[in-house]
Amino acid sequence: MAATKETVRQVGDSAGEKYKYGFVTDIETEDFPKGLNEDIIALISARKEEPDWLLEWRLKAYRRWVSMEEPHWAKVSYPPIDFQDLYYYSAPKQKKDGPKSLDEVDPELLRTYEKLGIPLAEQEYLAGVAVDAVFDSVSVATTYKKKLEEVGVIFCPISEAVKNHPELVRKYMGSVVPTGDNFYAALNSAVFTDGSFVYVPPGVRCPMELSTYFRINAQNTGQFERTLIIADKGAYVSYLEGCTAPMRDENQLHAAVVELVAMEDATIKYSTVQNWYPGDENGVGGIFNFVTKRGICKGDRAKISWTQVETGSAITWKYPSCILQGDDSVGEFYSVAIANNCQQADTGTKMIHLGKRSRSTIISKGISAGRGQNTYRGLVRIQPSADGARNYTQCDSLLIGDRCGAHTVPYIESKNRLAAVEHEATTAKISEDQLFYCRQRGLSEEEAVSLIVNGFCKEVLRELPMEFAVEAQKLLGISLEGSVG
Amino acid sequence: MGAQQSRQQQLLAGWSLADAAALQQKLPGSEHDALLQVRKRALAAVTGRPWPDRKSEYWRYTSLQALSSGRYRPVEAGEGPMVQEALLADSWRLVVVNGRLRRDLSTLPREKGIDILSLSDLAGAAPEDAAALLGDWPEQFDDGFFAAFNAAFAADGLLVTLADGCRAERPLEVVFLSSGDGAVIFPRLHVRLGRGSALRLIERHEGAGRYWSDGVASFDLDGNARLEHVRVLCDDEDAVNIATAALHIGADACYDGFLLSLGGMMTHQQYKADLLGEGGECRLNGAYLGHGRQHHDCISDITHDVPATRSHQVFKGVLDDRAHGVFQGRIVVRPGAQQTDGHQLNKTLLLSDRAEIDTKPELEIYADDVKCSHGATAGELDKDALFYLRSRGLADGQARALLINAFIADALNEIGDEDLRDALNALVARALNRQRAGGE
Repeated sequence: MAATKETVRQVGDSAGEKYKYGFVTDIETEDFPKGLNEDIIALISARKEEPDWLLEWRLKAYRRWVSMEEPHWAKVSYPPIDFQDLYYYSAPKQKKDGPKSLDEVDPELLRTYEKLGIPLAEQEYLAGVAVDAVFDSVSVATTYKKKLEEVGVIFCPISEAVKNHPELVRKYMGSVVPTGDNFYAALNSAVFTDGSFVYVPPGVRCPMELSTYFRINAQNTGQFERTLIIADKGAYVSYLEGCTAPMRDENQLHAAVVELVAMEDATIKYSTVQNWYPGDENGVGGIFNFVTKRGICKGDRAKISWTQVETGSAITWKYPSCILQGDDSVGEFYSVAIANNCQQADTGTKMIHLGKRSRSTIISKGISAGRGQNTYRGLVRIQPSADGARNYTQCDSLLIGDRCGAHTVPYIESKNRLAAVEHEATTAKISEDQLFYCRQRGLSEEEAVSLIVNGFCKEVLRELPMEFAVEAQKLLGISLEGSVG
Repeated sequence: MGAQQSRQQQLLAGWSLADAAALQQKLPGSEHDALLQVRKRALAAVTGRPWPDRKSEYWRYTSLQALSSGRYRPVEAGEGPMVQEALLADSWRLVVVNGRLRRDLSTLPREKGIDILSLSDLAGAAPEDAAALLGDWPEQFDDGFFAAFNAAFAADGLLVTLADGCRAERPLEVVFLSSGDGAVIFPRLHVRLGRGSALRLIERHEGAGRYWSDGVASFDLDGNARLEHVRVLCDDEDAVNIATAALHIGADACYDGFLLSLGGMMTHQQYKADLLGEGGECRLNGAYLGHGRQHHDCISDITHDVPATRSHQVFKGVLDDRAHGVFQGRIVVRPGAQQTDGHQLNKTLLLSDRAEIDTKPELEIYADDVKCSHGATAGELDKDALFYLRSRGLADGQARALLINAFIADALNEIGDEDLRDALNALVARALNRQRAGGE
């Protein structure tokens, strides 16, 4: 992708311009007052013209949230977040009737996308990728809708789904991540402003990779995305999520919820490349990323595969999980997480085996550099019903420099003798020999590190869709620039 | 009245703080202010706060319900002895009944450089030293709740000291015998090895009745010292054995420990090891066999504080019936502790549909030039191996027994000392036979 080349070039420039996406678009945003209470939630709901049941749902979540405590078990430290000092709604100002075509979209916004490398105006060139671009909280444009409609795939902002497909949203939203699941999920349920909705009807193989670019823009605006993907019997869908955010000094909160539902014989592949602003070398700024992602393999032989490349954010708190309810269902988790400079990543997965012969694979590669702290935290639970269940987990950590940290916290709980669970973890550093060999072959130190790191991660990278894989490989190199020597 | 309020007024169900304070006054040595103050400080550490519960990482998989609501009381004196055969024929032997050293049942070592003191001896001779020993409980686990509980009420304890360069010829066996329904017993064992000294130590826990043993142990190894330590839990199957051990390992010293959990209704063993000198090594291996409704929980927390230290853990378990096993191991490599070597392995065989294993092998690493790994597996016997043995003419029972023995032997083979290894092998074989006989 053109964006990638640009990323590499610009990010590779001077220190001051390390983060290419660090710009702030100066467009008017329509903010509600700071803070959170039932009135704000009612306002959000009214602004989005939501039905009563959804407002009730939000309020229920809010009341749960008020009674909950912020979790502190993760190995991350950050200054306390004042949840009353945030804006919970911000949307680009629209003309009264909303944009009917790209011409009507705020040109500032379009220029932002141009800089980002999302050629909204040249969608045809996007190599078969449909983009549901999210600017702050409201989806402004959706592409390739028609082609998807032909096969019956619904791909739209979730607010639109609430209006046009309320029965689906009502049935599934909160069915995988209940409103009171955890502190951040409850907060999201109360104030989520938008996100993507995907429904793939029975037997349909989604004809293209679906993709959403997330962007956080307005200052002090927490972004609360909500994504719901349903693959009906025998359906297949691959979904890509990629993120960038502008540079600023104040920490930004992000608490998304992603729910996946895979019915009998359905497959959902969910890939993420996350390169939000990680803060500068001294840990100033950067995104706080508290995400709840969970999928359920409801039917027999259903499959959910999570692949993530986490290079950004000051703090990552994210555990994409699978509930393997159907017999012979499959859960996969492939992850690369980088913590450089002052980044802190606490990420992993949960595999809950309920179905007979359900299988899960966890491959996690953590890379720590600078003063970064990288933690794998995972749970594999085999319930008594999961006869013949199988899990294989491999967690490898790579340390670059003597001030970083790599941690592994796997929980393994087996209540079935017919299940087999295996866990392996290793820790290593880039050896002098490896570096020397590469240097001797004419590679610069940074090229050498990039090569070694990419080799270390290749089991995960090969799970990514092609376009993403290329971008991710380069990102790894960029994220680790300056970490050696 | 909430449970919390009643907890503040009662340390144990039906046993008030006033009762606790009165008991403290009567404990040996409490006439010395230094000792009494330490005991009071320990009591203060466990009152006014709830017991650890499943929210604590160390009690995540083990319920304390039976202890906090059951009727338990500290016991004042030892009951009749249950003399057991020594595990090794030529060993020196110390017998501790309900937490108190019984010289009449013991064979005290007569080797130069080995010094055995009981806490009550020490209280008479040097109350300040006794207070210091009692007051130094590890605070690692739940702010040292159960270690402080011990310090508040321990009437006696053992202090084994080896002088610099003393290499004990014969092994030392310490037998902790416990008895009494509803008795709380507070065993204490402190071992100090001087520079270049060496000791083989066998620690056995046996008893009769529905008692609760809340033990504290410390092992301080000075430079170049070597301690081989096997800890064998054969408690009554209605009993509870909770213990906290602190290990301080000096430069080039080696702690080689093995925990064998066979008996008890519930065992919960917490080890905190610090590698404080370069070249230090901590080997902490173990095996647990569970049947019926037994619950074995082992927690190890090994910290590499300085460069060039090693740790090695292999824990293997066989769980039958409704037995529940827990292993939580943690290796911490502190900043600057380069050239650390840390390995940890936990494997469990589940023999029944209702057995359960929960394991959490944890690494926390703050240095880059390290070699650390951990692994964990859980499952049933390898079907192919079983088939192979059956095809060679072995009956199903024989084939299983052979594979189970081989599985556990992996852990036992980690014991360096041949005599100790053979003795433990025999214990395990007997326990497995019993398990099989019970299961069939």
